[in-house]
Amino acid sequence: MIERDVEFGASVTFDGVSKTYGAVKALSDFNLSIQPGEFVTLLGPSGSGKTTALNVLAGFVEETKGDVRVNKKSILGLPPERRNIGMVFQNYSLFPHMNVFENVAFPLRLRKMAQAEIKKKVGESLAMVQLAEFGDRMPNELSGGQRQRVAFARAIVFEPSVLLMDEPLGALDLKLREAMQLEIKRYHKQLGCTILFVTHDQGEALALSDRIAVMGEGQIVQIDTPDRIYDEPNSKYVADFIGTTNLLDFERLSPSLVRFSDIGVDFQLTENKENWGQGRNSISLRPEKLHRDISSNDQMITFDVTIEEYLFLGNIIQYSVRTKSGKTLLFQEHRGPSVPILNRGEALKLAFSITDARPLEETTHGIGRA
Amino acid sequence: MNKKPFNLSKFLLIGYFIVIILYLTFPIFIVIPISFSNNPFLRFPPSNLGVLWYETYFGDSGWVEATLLSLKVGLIACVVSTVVGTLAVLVLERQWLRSKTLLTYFITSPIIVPHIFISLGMFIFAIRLGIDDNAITLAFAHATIAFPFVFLIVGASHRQLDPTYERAARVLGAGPVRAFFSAAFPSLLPGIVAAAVFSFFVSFDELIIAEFMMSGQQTLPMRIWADLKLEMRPTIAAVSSILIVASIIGMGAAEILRRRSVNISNS
Repeated sequence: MIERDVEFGASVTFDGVSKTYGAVKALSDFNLSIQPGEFVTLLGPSGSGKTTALNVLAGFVEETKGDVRVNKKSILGLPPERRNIGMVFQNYSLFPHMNVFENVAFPLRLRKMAQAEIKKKVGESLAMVQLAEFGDRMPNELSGGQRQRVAFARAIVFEPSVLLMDEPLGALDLKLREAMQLEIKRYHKQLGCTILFVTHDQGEALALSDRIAVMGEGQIVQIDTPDRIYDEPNSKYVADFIGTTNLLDFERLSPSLVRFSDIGVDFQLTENKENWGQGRNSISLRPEKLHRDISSNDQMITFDVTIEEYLFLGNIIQYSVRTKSGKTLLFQEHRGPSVPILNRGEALKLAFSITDARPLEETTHGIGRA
Repeated sequence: MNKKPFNLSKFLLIGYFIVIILYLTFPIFIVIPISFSNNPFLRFPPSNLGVLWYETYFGDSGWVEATLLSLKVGLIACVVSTVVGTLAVLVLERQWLRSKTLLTYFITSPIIVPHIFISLGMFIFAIRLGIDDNAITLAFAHATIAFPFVFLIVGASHRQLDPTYERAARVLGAGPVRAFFSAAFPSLLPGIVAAAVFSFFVSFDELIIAEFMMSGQQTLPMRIWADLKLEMRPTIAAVSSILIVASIIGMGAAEILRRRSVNISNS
């Protein structure tokens, strides 16, 4: 397969980057360090600054303040064509008047590479995306997934130091998107390149990334590995944005006693008491962390609910349940021979372990950490 | 199957459509048949069919010279207005300008200002500089009235451009000029060609400015006008028929080009 020099995976550093449009702050003191070869995703709703960050790195948007470095060298003021960065766009951006071969050869021709070498490199890139036989096709003769693979081949053929992907799967349907996720993972492993990926799809981010940076209002709210982002969101904003979750309010009666008024339970903390302070007053509890077998354990919290409604999701059933105080929670169960479906109106006890509850910061944004 | 109820509004609409189309194309149905008569007068319906007046047209050096002059003026005007108009689009669409709206009005004003005033102004200007009765001067004068059309036609295709194509070319290693020509220009080209064809006919067709500016030489519309004033001979019908066919071919080709490119970039 394609051999890459060590340079291929570069480190990327955003150092206090701000971008303002008039009074609007698209990025405010944005800090991010990406290791060589790492796959980092910027995840956030539209307007959170993720695309601005990408455009600053590509050179389409000039930062108001701060520095951007690739391999520890500042790229400030360099035009896009001199940054040696690969980019895949949501709309593929294949040149409609060039065939697949010419599209992929385009960056090599600009680099004045010899014809024989161009042929070899384009061939390798197209082989990698399994489109070796498609060189003569025009872009409008390809399917969406094929176009995206050509766009990918074109973005990596000149061995860029960093690969940027701007919602590259956004225009594909669900099945194809899942297949392409696996493809992208394979390319990343094969090439070892640094990838900065932008998406608003949390499922995509969880599936692909080494690390996810959740963005809000021009800053990183939390950056961590997918499992830790999912299991240990640091704020209501992240807990709400990633997956589905239940938010339960709590009140601290004493340093070690917390009251969950939504479920009518007071609980004596024995571990990690410090996590429950500092202005936190709610917890995130994933629907799958609730269960109905109540093995008694001093870390368990049990409470009464009635089943309101259920959604049949195939391998999983998602119930919405109502607590005594009238709060609605979600509760998910895998189906199995010993797990009968609960009926509407049925009353039961649910339990969760205090270690699965995440006390959350109230802030929605603004904890920019590199 | 039920019998379809008689739909009065649909019926009226189709009738209206046919009437308007006939009204617009009516001259063609008169002029083309007249041109194929061998009668010495303009008369409808034609009798005595033949190609006498086409022979007269091609045999008369005055007519041929007038046609060649009009072709020359039209081509220069077309090149000048297409280049300048396209550049104007690029500046106004891409550059953030405070006075953008004002400039746009200014650029398109020759469409609204009566040609007689434009002619007078240009005539005085040309006399002062001593460049009246000159094909190049006339071509530039025609370019000013063709320019707004180029601006509007190319501007419309520019607004259809997806800026990510040029961005893609930039990150792939192309400088701004190269990126424009490899990523944007091919998509703009059909619009530019259509605008060029259009501006050519704006000039080729133009009488008022030409009447002011030219004293020694005659353009084709001037020659037609002069002939009409003196004697109504069917040569005019022959010339008009040739012009009609030429414009249909030119415009048709431009439209086919434009559609083909739209298909490529939309699929």
